[in-house]
Formats: sequence, C-alpha cells, structure tokens
Amino acid sequence: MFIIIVGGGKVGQYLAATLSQKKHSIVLVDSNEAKAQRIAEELDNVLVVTGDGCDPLTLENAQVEKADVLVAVTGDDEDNLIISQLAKECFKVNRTFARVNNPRNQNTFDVLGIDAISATTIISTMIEEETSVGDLTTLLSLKRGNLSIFELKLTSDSPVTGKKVMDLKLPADCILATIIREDRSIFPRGGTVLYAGDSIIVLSRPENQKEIKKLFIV
Amino acid sequence: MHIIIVGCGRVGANLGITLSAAGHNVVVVDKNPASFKRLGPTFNGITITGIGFDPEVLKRAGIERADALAAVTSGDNSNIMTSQVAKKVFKVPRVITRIYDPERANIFKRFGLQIICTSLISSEIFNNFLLQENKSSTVNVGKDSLKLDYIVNAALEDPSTPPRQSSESLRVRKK
Repeated sequence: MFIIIVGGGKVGQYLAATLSQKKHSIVLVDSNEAKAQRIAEELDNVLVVTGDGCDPLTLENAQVEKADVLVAVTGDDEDNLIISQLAKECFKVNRTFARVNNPRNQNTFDVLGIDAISATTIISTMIEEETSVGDLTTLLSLKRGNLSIFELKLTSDSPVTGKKVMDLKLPADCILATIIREDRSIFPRGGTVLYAGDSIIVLSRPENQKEIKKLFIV
Repeated sequence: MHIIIVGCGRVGANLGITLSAAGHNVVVVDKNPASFKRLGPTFNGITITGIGFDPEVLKRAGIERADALAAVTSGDNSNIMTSQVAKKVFKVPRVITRIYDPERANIFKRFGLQIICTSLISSEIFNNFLLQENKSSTVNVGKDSLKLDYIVNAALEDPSTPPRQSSESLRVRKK
C-alpha cells in the first residue's frame, strides 16, 4: 500500500519505520527542513517531503492522489484535522487517520467524520477496563461498528451456572459466541449447559458491558 | 446579540471594542492573556484565556446560547477548526471565518464555511488604488456578498504629482 504520513515526530517516525519494513511504500511529510533531512538519512526506504502538510501543494508533491492511506500525526490537532479533511474531501484518499493530542477534541473529529485516535483515551480506557470489571475482560474493541468482544469466567456462584443457553436473558445486541471449557471450544446451541470454570466469549456493544457482567457474574 | 470572538489580535480586539460599544454581549477568547490589553479600557465584555476550538473553553464562553462567532486568530487552521466546532458541534447560527491562504479559503468554502479571505480583499483594494481605475468588484461570503466600489476622485488633478511616463519611454531616454 502507498501510505502518506504527515508529521515527523516520534509517532510519525516510528510509523514510517515499521510500515516501510512491512513493504508498504511510505512518504513522510514534515515542515522542518533539518528534521526532514535527518529522517531521510535515517530511514532508507522512506521518501521525505519537506513542506506544510496543510498546504494542498505539499500534499500534491507527496502524490496524495495516489495514496491508499493518509495518517496525520502532527502535534497540533487543528493541523491534523485540516490535513485529514483535505486528503479526504479534495484528494479522495480512501482511508485517513488523525491523531488526537487533546482527548477533548475527539468528539469534534467524530462529529466531522474524521477517524481519529487518541492515545490518552485508549490507554485510560484500557486501564479502566482492566480495573473496573474483575472477572470480565475486554479482548478486543472495534471502534468501527462499535463492537466489543468480552471474556467472562464462570464460578459456581454465577447466576447462570447450570443453566441452558436458551434460558439466558441476553441483551438485544449480544451474542454468546463460544464457550471455552478445559482448552476446548464449544459453539453453543440452545441446549448447551453452562458450568463453573467455563470461559464465555461474548460479542456485544461496549455499553452493554455492565449488563453482561450482571447477567453472568453478579 | 451574544457574540464570541476567537483571537484577540488587531482584528479581534477592534471587533470586540466596536461590538461591545454597540451594546452586544461580547466574549473574546485568546490563548495568550497578554493580548487582551489591546481591548483597552472601554471594552465591557468578557475575556477567556484558552484554545478557541476546545469545546470546554467555548462552553465557558457561552457558545450554547451564542448567536454568532468570529474566528480571527492568526492561524488559518485553528480558525477553520474553531468554525467547524461552532457550526457542526454547537450549531451556532452565524459563524464567520477569517482565512489568509486563498487556496485554503477556496477549499473550505465547500465545507459550508462563511469565509472572509482578507488577503484577497486587501490585494483587490491595493490593486484598485494603485491603478486608479473605476471598478466595482464583489466578494462572496457564503450566500451574502461584499461589494467594493472604487471611484476615482480627481486624484490626477493634483498638479504636484503628474503621472509618470510609461516605462518604455523611460528606457529609451536612459540610452
């Protein structure tokens, strides 16, 4: 894939280095000439363009019209927004990602339809998920589609232990995907009975987390 | 009207002073508190220190009940972002954006922003005064427009400054 990275800070450089190793062709854009020069010397397989990424001409120099993906990771949220909007609306780049430095701007990016990633938010959500719900772990959160995969460990005290799957009162947007019992996975049917020690893999909306915990554990 | 001005540079400060003198409810936002000095003693509005596109700062400025917002910081990108936050997140009925870069102004017009590209307007004005030709031109800002009429008023009658000869004849004379 052809990927343009705008912003040659730590994040931009690391992305350029790892993605170029995975055989993607990478163009990195940074407005600081000395920095751009240094990056060009350090990273062999990365083409570096010097210029302001918010300037459509710079993006054209980076051959934005051919890009499959554009990533805006400068230290300024306003720049990341404008770069993503230019790429998306003017140059029809299929996928764009913006870095959100201040988590308070996340909602702005969401409202304006720009995919945005806030490291601070991700880390704090991870910590929250690890600490707040003891026996329920979030295995994966898919932001696109607003979907989470949870794992729950059943004990003999669980209200569902000994029950059949068809008798569970699952929330509307929720699927009991798999039961892991002694290293074997069971794909549940209505008549499958749940036992203490089972690990339950549930596919659901992130906001159902509390309800699911209540149903299976407390 | 409750009006928020983001950016307290020369334009923002002047706008703040005029609007507050006209009896409007004015809140001026700037990231640098020192810039509020420009507002002078007559300004009777509110000043808030903070980044203009930060939703929390805008809420403190009363954006949820604001009738209008002007984005006039020195940064084109922050003006564009502030305006989009005001328009799309907080649904402010009237949002006016100042952009220096004509190219960016042209592009973000398509995003539904009401943009005043002051570089284009000043160059138009300079052009008229330099060439002294009767001319009227129109600048579109959203659905509204600004009409500039340049009228030559006997400037050439001043005998102390006759017009120069054309550059070609000057060159010939030098030889």
